[in-house]
Amino acid sequence: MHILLIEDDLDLGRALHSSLQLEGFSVQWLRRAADAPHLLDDGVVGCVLLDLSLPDGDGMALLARWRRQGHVTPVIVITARAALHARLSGLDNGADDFLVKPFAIPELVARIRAVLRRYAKQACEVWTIGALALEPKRHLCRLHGDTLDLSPREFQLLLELAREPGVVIAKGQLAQRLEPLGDAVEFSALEVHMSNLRRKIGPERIRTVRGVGYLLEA
Amino acid sequence: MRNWYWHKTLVARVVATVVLAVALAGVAVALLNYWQFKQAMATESGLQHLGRYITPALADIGNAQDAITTVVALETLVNASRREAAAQGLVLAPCLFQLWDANNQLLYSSPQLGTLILRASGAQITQQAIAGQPYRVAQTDLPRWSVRIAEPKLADTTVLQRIVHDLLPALLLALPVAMLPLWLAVRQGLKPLQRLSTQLQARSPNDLRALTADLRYAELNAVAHAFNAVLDQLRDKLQREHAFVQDAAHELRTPMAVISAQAHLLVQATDAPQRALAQAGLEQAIQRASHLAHQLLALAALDEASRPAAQRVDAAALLRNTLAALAPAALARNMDISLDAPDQLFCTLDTAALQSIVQNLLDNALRYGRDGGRVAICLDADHPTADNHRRQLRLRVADDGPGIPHAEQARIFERFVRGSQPQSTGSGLGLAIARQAALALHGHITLGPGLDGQGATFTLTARLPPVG
Repeated sequence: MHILLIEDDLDLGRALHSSLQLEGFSVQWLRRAADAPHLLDDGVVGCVLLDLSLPDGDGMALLARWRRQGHVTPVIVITARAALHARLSGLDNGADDFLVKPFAIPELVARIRAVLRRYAKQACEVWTIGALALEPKRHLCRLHGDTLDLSPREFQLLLELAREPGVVIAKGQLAQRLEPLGDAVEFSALEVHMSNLRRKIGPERIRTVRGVGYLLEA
Repeated sequence: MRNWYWHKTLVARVVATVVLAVALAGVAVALLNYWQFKQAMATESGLQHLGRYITPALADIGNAQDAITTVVALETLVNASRREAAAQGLVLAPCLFQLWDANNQLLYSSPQLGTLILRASGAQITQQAIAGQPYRVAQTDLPRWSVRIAEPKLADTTVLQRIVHDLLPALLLALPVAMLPLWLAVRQGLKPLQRLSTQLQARSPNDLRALTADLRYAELNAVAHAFNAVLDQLRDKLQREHAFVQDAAHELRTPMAVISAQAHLLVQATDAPQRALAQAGLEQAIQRASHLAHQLLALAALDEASRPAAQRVDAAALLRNTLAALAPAALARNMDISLDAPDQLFCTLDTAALQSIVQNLLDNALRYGRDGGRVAICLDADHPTADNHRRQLRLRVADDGPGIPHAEQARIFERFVRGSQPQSTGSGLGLAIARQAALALHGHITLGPGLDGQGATFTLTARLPPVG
C-alpha cells in the first residue's frame, strides 16, 4: 500500500518514513506544498499523510484543492494545531482523520488501516469479499476459512483489487500500484502473478476485461 | 499619632485644616487690629480727638465758673462712656481733667488728682505717672483757657484682650458656617472615588478591561486614564504571553512526535545496526526537544522586566570562547571561519544578553552555512572619546550560505518563524532571542546581504554605557 507523506520537519519526516516502511507501506515523502502533486493519482496513492503547517503554504489549501478536483484518496491530517476549530475545519475541508502531534506510531498505522478499510468499504480489519477473507495487517488471505499461501506480490495484487471490488482496474494502473515509487511492473510479470493468484483463489473470482484490465468479483 | 492625623481620612484632614485656617485668620486679623490701634495711637490719639471737642465748647465762654461747669460736664460725659465699656469686659480707668486760665491759674482739677499738676507741652503728648499708673497728657489751648487731659495709658494686654473679645464671637460663628459647605463638598467630591474603589474590588483578577466609571472630576479622570493605560499595557503583555505559551506548546509537539516515532523504530529494530541507527535518532530527537526547551527558557528570561546588572566583560574573549565551542562541527564540514576582533574588548553590559546573541548568531551561521562555505565574524567598538555616551559595540556575522529569501526577511526575527530552507530544523527561536537580547543591550540587529553577493549578514549594534 502506497502512502504519500507531506511533512516539512526533517527529523519527523525521516522517522515517519522509516516507521511506515517498517510497517510494510511504501512511502513517498515530500517536504513542501509546492512539491505535492497537482493531481492525486487516486489509484496509486492509498493514503495521504498531510502536515498543515508547511513552509511555503497551508496544507489545508492543498487538501481543499484536491477535494475540489474530486479526488477521493483518504487524507489523514497530522498537525501540531490541537484546537477544536482546527480539527473541525480540517475534517470539514475533506480530511478523513485528524491526528495531533505527538502521536504513537501504532496509532498512526491503525488509523491509516482504518481509512484504507473504509475506502474499500470494509467493516473491520478482516476484509471480506465473497468467500475471500483478507487481513492486510497480517498479510493473510483465507478462502472458506482455509489460509492460502500467497507470495507478497500476489497478496499485494489481491489487496489492490480488493480496495475497489467490482471495479475494473486498468492493467497499467495495477502495474504501477505494485511498484508505486519505481517503474511500473512489466505486463508479462503482472500476468504471471495474476495467473498464479487465480490458480490459488479460484479463477472465477477475478474477471479479465479484455484490453482494459481486471476486476475482483464483489 | 502623626499617622492618625495625616492619614485617617481626607474628611478629617479637611476639617482640621479648616479649623487651623480659621484660627490663623483670627490671629492675623487680631494682629492687624492691634497694629492699626498702635498706629492710631501714634498719629491721632483719643486725647487729640477730645481736645477738638473741647475747643468749640469753651470758645465762647467768658467767665471762669461757666468754663469749670463745661469741663466738669465733659469729664462726666467722657468717663461715663468709659465706664460703659467696662460692661463689655474692658476696665478703663477715668480720664483726668485740669482747667487753666490765660494767666496760668489752675481753675479746676479732677478730684483724683489732688494737688498734682498735669504737665504738658502744648499739643504734644507727654507721659506722666499718676498714682503709680502711666498716663498720657495733652493740652488744648484757647485764647482764654487751657485744658489739660490725662488719659490712662492702655496696657498691651488690655488692648489685645479687647481685640480678642471683639473677634472671638465672629470667629466662632464663621467656623461652622465655613465648615458645613466644605464638609458636604468633600463628602460629595469623594463619592466617585468610593464608586471607583467599589468597582475595582468587584473586579475579577482576570478582568483587565478599561475602567468605564464617570469620575466627574478632571483630577480623578486623570487617575483613571493613567490606570487604564497601565491596564492596557498589562492586557497586551498578557496576550503576548498567552500567545507565547500557546505557540510554545505547539512547537514542542513536533519534537515530541519525533521522539515517539524514533522510540517506535527502536522497539521495532530487529538487528544491531538498525537499533544503533534508531538509538542515534532518538538521542538526536531528545536533544532537539531539550534545545527547544532551553531556547524557550532563554526567551522567557529575556522577557523579564528585571535584567541582571551590567557586568564588566571582555567581549572579544566571550566571542572567541563561544566560537571555539562551535567551531569543530563547522570545521568538520570544511567551513572557512574567520574572526576579526581586537585582542581584548572590555565593556560593561548585560553579559547574558550578549552571550545569547553571540551564541545564536554564530550557531545560525554555522548550522545553515553550506559545506565548505565561509563565515566571517567581526567585532569592534568605538574608541572612548569625549562623546562617550554614543559609544557603540558592533558584531557582524556574515556567511555565504543560502541566505534568506526577500519575502521571508521581514518575519525572520519573529519567534517560531523558520526559514524555508530544506535543512532548517532549528527551534525557530534563535533570531527572536537575539533580537530580544539586543533590546536588553539597548541595541538592534539588522539583516543585510552576505559574502560575495550571497548568504546573509547579521549586524548587532549595541550602545555601550559611558566609560567612567
